[in-house]
Amino acid sequence: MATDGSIIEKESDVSCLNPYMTETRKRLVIASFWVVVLLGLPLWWKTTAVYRAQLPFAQIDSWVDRKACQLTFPSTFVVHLASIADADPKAHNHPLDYPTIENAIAASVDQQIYQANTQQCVEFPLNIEIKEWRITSDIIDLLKHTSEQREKSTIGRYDIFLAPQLPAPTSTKRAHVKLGNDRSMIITLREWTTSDIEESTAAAIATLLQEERERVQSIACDNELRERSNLDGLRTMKFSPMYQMTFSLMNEDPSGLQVDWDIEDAVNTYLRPFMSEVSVISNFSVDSQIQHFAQLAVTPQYMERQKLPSYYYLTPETLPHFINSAEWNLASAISTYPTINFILYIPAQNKSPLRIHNSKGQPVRSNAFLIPRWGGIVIKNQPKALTASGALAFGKEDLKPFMEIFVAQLRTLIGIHDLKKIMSPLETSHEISYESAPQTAVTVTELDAVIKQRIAENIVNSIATLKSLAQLVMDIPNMVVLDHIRTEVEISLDSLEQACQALQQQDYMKALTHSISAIERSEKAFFDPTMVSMLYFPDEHKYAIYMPLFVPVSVPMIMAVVKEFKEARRRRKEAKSKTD
Amino acid sequence: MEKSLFILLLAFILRLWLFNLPAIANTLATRVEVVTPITSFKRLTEGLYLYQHSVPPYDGGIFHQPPFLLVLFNAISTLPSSVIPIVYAAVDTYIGYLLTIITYDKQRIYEKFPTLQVEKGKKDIDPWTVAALYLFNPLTIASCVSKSTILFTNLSIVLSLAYALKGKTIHSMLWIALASYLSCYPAMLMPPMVLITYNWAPHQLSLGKQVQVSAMYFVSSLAMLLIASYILTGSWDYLYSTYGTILCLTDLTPNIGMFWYFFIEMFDQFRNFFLVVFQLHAFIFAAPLCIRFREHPIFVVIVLSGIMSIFKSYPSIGDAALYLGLLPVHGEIFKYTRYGFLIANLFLYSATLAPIFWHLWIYAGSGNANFFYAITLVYNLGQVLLLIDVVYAMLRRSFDIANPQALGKEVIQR
Repeated sequence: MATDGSIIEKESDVSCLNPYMTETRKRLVIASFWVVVLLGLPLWWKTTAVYRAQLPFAQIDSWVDRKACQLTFPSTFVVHLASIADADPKAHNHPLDYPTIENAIAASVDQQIYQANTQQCVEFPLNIEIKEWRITSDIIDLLKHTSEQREKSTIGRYDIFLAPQLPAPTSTKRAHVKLGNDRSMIITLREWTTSDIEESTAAAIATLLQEERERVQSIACDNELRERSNLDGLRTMKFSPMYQMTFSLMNEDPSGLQVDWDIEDAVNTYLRPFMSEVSVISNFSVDSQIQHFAQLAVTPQYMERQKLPSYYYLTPETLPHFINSAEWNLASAISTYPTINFILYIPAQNKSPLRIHNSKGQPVRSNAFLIPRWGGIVIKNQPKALTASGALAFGKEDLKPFMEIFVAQLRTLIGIHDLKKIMSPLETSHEISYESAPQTAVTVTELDAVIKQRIAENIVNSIATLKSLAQLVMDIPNMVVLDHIRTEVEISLDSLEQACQALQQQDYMKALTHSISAIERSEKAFFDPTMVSMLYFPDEHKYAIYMPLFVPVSVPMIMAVVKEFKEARRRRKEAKSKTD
Repeated sequence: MEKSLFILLLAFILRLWLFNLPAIANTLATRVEVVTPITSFKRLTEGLYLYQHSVPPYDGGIFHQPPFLLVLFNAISTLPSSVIPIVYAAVDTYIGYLLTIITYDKQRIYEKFPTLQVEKGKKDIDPWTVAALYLFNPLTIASCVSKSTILFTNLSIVLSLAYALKGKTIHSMLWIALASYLSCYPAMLMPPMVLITYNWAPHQLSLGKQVQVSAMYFVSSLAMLLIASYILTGSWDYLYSTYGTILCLTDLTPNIGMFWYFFIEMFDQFRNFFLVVFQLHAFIFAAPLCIRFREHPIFVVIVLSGIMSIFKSYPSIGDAALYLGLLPVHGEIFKYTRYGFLIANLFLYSATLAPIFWHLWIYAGSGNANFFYAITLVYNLGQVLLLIDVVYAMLRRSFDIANPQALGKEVIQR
């Protein structure tokens, strides 16, 4: 309706004004937009659907509650009792009653160990068998003889050989215990009586198992116990199937000294046997480096002495700051495995000789120290008589003392406990001797203890990881859980099951393999890039994502539809009034 | 005639001359504004090398162009290397020539249409002016000299339009199928092409019949092309590598479109959803425009080309060159446009600042991605304004022809 002639309003019936815009066409245009929107709706549903693979929560819970499988660390002791045909006639008079002795030993061991721990989340079944051991008095080397007597031993199965002391007793102690390398010990008793046999055997078994059991129990049972557990646990590296070992030769001041070392040869000679021995638990990759201008982060103190030469020293309080992590390039990008560092540090001339004091203020003889869960350091002062060229080259032989220290430190870092230390409680009543360890720097018994400990650790840690994963998934309902996560979790649970069953059958090697698989799989699932909680947000945040685009777009589209409806209604009314 | 020859020759020689300036040709071939991952000649060479050495070219994630281009350039590569610039220059010049034919045909058809009083007795735009506007548009030249393969898509679209105006349904559908095959989006130009043949072809079919016949031709030629490609490469891998890249935006190399920045910032969870939204958005205008401008299907082709150039996933200035070249075909609406000055400034502004901000971001390091993205927004704002303006001009002119009494008066919708 033209009001003043300058403005033309389009009539509702536009066709009279505009031949191209009929009412049907207008509706078609609006409809064609809406058709696309409606087409988009199922796509919207499809593309924003959160895919959640069903995780076996019930199974995880049963592991967390320890209902799925009872952890057991069984051990078997085969006690070989000597029956001497021609020596001591007294022994013949009193034939030994084997079943009674078996029970007596078992009861005695239980009494000695179990009084310490009351918790029953781990079981330690003890199986004692007694066998007859026929020897003759002309056997000198018992040790050699024993190896022929036994079946092939496995982890958790020990052989104890008992015999009266055949030559005249030399010691005042009532028995002599000789520990072999291969899960065997020989106890020679001064007096061949039933009570002595029982007591000595039980004491030896109890001492051997005591610490190992305590450690496994503290790992497997609740966390409070673990936290107050001994320092060893804190020193030991977190388990990994692979470690990266880095040997660094640090030279503080290369201006006066050129250094070099034959580390490859030394590692191959002194370390390789050890590494191959522990490879059942973890493998190692070894690399080395020489760094110059490795400045110390701490300033050593000066000790002036009147008659003796003066020296510089570091106190135990300053040792944690010894590593100059800002400047020493120790972080490795080669692999994602945990790194164990070993450093041979050569201080500058003006700080030599540098020594380490212990907490009592006395210099430490080895001049070495260990950084828990990190590595070991040895300080080597420059020799006084340097060659004219100012060069210091460590050959294989020169490196031997340092490698010995490194091996000892590595033993601690991967959780090997000294057998001598374990057995020391027995020394009060028994005389102990050890068969010399082979070149590997680790005895079979020591390794067994580590394996058991690692099995317990892996099982407990993978249960904890799975528990956290289940917690995370349940807490965030919007989190996408892909199929491969479920697969990993299922494999991990399966491995746990198998590890536990293998333990019950006393097959520790199998249990170790499965426990490693369990921890690896569970961590793989937990650290998957899609399982990051930051990626997912609650529903109300979604509105903030949708609204900025869709509200402005939808306003004109909805308005057009509303207008069209009004128009249609008005027209119907008009038509009605016309017919009326 | 002399004028026409002069224009074509000059355009051809200009291109050849620019091809011979390595500084310009090589620079243009790497500019993100000019070439995209799906049109880059460098990537085509890469794919061609693999193809010639019997390595599946679509495996590496570098090459995203359809197999026909491989075959074409495989053939060209047997000729001396100077042939490639000649091919590009010739194709571009040919597009210019086709534009004159399109303009002739359009003017012949529109003669019968009612016009405004002021237009009576005045001559329409000279077809050779249309060609010159295309051939000497800096965007066209830059795109051609960069050896961007978008040129072949543009050629197919223009050929399809020319054939449609001649009333040749089969040819038109074949060429638009080829264009769709080359870069996916031109599929939305198929309905207006059908409308052109339906509206103006000498043999009159009913609309339903025409749609059926055309759809059949379109689908069968497309299927033929796809199957032939399968035979040429020996596997269906190329489908995901070409159309998958276009539709799923797997390559986030910056360009002058809206997609890359948005999908770099996008939360992974919503990526698929917004991909669907963005791609649907590009296609949503096809039907309404065809319905609204049923009588002016050439205009629909122009506007849809513009929409492609703005909302496709990997736009380049080659897309803009196409619809800017087609726009003068409907020269009569220019007198209604209102934002000419503003739009020209927006184009100049973004043309100046885009390379600068790119340099600041990538080379100098003193800027960041926001700088460059802001400029692409300005550029796209310019394009959107231009489209709004021409659509307005078209509507107003039609309205004024139908209602001469409304001339010069404001029209409001109640």
